[in-house]
Amino acid sequence: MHEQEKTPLAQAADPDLAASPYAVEMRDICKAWPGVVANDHVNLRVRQGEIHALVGENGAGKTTLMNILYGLVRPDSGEIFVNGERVHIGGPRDAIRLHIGMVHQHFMLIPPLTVAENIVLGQEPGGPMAAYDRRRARELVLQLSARYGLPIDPDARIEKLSVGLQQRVEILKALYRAADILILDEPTGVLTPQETYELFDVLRVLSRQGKTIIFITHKLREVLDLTDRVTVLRRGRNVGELVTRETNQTEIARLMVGREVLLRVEKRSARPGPVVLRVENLHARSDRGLEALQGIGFEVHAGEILGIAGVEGNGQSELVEVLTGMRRATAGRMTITHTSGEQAGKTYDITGMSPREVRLVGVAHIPEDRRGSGLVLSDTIENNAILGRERWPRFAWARFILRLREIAQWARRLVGEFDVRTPSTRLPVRALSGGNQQKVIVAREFAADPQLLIAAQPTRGVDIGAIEFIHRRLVEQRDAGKAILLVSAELDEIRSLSDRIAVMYEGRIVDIVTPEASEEELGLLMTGGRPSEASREEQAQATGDS
Amino acid sequence: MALQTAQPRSPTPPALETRSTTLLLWLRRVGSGLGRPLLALALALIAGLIVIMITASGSLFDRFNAALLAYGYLFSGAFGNAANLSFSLVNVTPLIFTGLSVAIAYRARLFNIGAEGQFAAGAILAAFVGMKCSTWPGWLLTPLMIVAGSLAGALWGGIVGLLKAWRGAHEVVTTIMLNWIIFYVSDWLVSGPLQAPGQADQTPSMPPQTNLPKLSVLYNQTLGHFLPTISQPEQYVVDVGFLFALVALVAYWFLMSRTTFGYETRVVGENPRAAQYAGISVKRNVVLVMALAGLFAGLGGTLQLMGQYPYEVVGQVFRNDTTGFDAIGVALLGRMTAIGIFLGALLFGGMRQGGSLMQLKANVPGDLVYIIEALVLFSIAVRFLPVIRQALVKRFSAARQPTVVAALAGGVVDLDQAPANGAEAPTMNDQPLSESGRAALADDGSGQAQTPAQERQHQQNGEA
Ligand SMILES: Nc1ncnc2c1ncn2[C@@H]1O[C@H](COP(=O)(O)OP(=O)(O)OP(=O)(O)O)[C@@H](O)[C@H]1O
Ligand SMILES: [Mg+2]
Repeated sequence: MHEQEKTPLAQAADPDLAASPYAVEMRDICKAWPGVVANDHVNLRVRQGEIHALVGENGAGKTTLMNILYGLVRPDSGEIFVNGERVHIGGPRDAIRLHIGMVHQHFMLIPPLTVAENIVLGQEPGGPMAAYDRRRARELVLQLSARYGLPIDPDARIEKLSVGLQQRVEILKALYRAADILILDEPTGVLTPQETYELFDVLRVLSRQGKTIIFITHKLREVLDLTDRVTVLRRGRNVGELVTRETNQTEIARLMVGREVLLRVEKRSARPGPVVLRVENLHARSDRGLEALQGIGFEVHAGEILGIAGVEGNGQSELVEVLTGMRRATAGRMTITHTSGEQAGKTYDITGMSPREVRLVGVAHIPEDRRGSGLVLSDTIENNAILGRERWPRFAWARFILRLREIAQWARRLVGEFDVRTPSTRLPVRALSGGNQQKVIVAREFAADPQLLIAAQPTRGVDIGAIEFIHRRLVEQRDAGKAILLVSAELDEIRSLSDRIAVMYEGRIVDIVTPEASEEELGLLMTGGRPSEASREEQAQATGDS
Repeated sequence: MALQTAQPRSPTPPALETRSTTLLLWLRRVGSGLGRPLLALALALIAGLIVIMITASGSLFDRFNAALLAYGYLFSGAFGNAANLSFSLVNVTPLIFTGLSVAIAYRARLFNIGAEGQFAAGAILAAFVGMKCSTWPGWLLTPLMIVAGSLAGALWGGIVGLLKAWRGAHEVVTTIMLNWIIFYVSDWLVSGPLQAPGQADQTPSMPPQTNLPKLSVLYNQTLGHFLPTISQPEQYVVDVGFLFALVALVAYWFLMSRTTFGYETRVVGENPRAAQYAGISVKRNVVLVMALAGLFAGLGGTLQLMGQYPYEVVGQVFRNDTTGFDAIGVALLGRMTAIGIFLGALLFGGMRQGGSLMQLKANVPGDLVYIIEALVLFSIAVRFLPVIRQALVKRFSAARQPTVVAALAGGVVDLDQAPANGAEAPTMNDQPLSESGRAALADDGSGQAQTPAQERQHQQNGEA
């Protein structure tokens, strides 16, 4: 193992960045998984003290490359240099010794332990043999947090912290291990916009203090806001190394995808038909027994997209769960009316139905937590393609015997139509990249030809090409006369796709506005501010139309 | 503005289902399915060899020879001739049934420690029915006993499922408790209500019309009319219960990989929240799976009673019998697959049989068999084999070229933990706490822990 000399802070503060050696240089990295070349002679050069964006489509090999750098994956060939010295990284231990730290998207924290305990875990003050010195650990954490300007309560239990703060703990953990090079794999995927701003502030401070940061994201706006330079991967190969100041979203997008990407959705105005989903006075409790929904009522028409906007945690998740049968309503009524197909005109009361029954009467559901509930990771793509519909006559004979050939064909069709990047449909879903996992779910739910499509965070973690694709599909489905309920934390997404926007605040729908409503107005509504006279009129109009 | 924009070589088309990837995947699946159990067995045999060499006398060479000789007798005692083989198969039959019982429960991630109890429940109720209706004709009584025994097993397993589904009682605790309940109930029945008159602690023999025919006899009576008959068929003791076991294996395979029930069970076992999302009732499934597990074991107990001399239940027999516990080893070794369970049962059943010949001829204590069994399980349970494999790969892929070996080695990371049919080694990696706990530990460079690193990588792959 090569011992690495500590990077002098002074050097990083050197204004002439170009003169300093690369903090990380990866040369000709190759890594093949069976059937996929994840990294094909990839080069990555990151200068000291810069924030370097690593972008690329889903499955382009970003995570693989970073896992190689952190020692979690062994490359087939290639060389790695850290601060100009050739190094061998055989495992995370080597990486930590080289002052490399990594923050994974799903955090590796132990929920019942405190912040301080989590941070020092494995490198407790006093060494492995000494008794755990709580006071000293607290002190160290406080020092660390003061030094980097990352305020945190060292005694809070992880399970009580918000996602944003948990991420901060992960960063502190890396810093505690003296990381000078910080890898962040899609850190903003799970954050609210506010938390994202805070994270950016933190990263800027760290970078000013001489830390080198590698930042993976799918959001090009973040790339432009935060980073100094950008490396673009496409299908496992380098396709560009850009200086952020000299580029723009369109160029990066074109490099990533290999063609022009429409960053805006194009759609005709909606031609709403009859009501498909009618919700009246819905009440439900959250997991903690609080009133999460307090009398919600709205309608979704055939041929329209109703967007649900709101700061996360105001009952959106519970609303989706109640609608899909995963959570019991304590009061209220929900009905689905078919507007097309054999049962056109028929109305079903879905209050109290099980998820299976709800699906049977024509509701499709893209869940917000794909790894948690939307997929069985260890199972094959084929099997995941029928999850929830495994007893449908098409896939099972007499609801019992699986029609394997039919299922395989179905899976291949979904994979083809939705451009899921995989060498085989028999691969476990776990082997897919994050965005491709999402595509499997989206494909499954779209392909079922539902009456109502409930899409919760449908583009979370997918690349711009896929976002464009999913958005286009949503609009297509709308134009085909489906009713769509879109729940998203991305205000841009809500505004560009929805025909009407319902704003949720503390378990109520405070207002339903048109997508022309300004961002400020929506922001005000989302935080419980009173709607202005103007918007109320607008709303009256909007509901009057439909 | 691009500083350096490499034009991509012709974009790779998404290679869907090419021959070679399918082959590679299949190879890896078979490799990871067979590799670990075989390596475990090899290690255990080597360790056993060393044990024999230590206990033997003479020069090193003599000792080595003695050990090889012992293994020779072990093998020929188990499978060396038709008679020995038939004795082995008598052991194999109940191991298959109880192995299936353990395996089917494990598909829903339930640890069935109660196969022995369900086995006993089946045998006891079948004996009860056999005694009470001993005058009934065989064509009626035989199936009746089989059905009664299976249902008794199903009930005994189903109780576990019910307790789990509605009270959240952990199945390991309840199965062990139910084991003891049925052991005592059977002791009481055998020395009380079902006691054979004039005999201590045993039931009378089952009515002869219900005794299952030996395979050899059956053969002579059917195919033997057209083909050469077997002479002295009585010496080949294996009965038609073995055929039932084979059918059960096929049924298990079919149920698990070809039906919605198997599919849903897998979802429940792998990701209960996905089951909820899909509208699969976790409770219903848990109850059904445990009942089926009990059914397999109960059927095994019944057929054992009806197929083998002396066709009776003896006092305290179940308490001392280890079939249902060996079954855990069989299922683990067989990685919960039908073929694996068959091979595992063959190995364990055969070794039991061969052990006696080894003791007789090579003068090596038959207990060696238990040592080998224990070592096999130990190697599998401890999971140090992947680590060894990884170390080997590290050595051999030093060339650092993308080779098939390297690709396969890469697979070590993945498919080991994610075989397509959910036949996983028994890690409870569904528990977020332990998972993140271990991962967190690995993060701090506690180093050799390969598994957390792998897990982390899985998580990573999925994250986006
Ligand atoms: N453990 C694995 N086994 C097999 N294939 C894998 C494994 N990990 C990744 N792959 C494959 O390698 C390719 C690159 O995956 P990677 O996770 O690096 O993509 P990514 O750029 O991080 O994508 P995303 O933005 O969707 O997270 C994908 O095609 C993926 O299917
Ligand atoms: Mg990724």
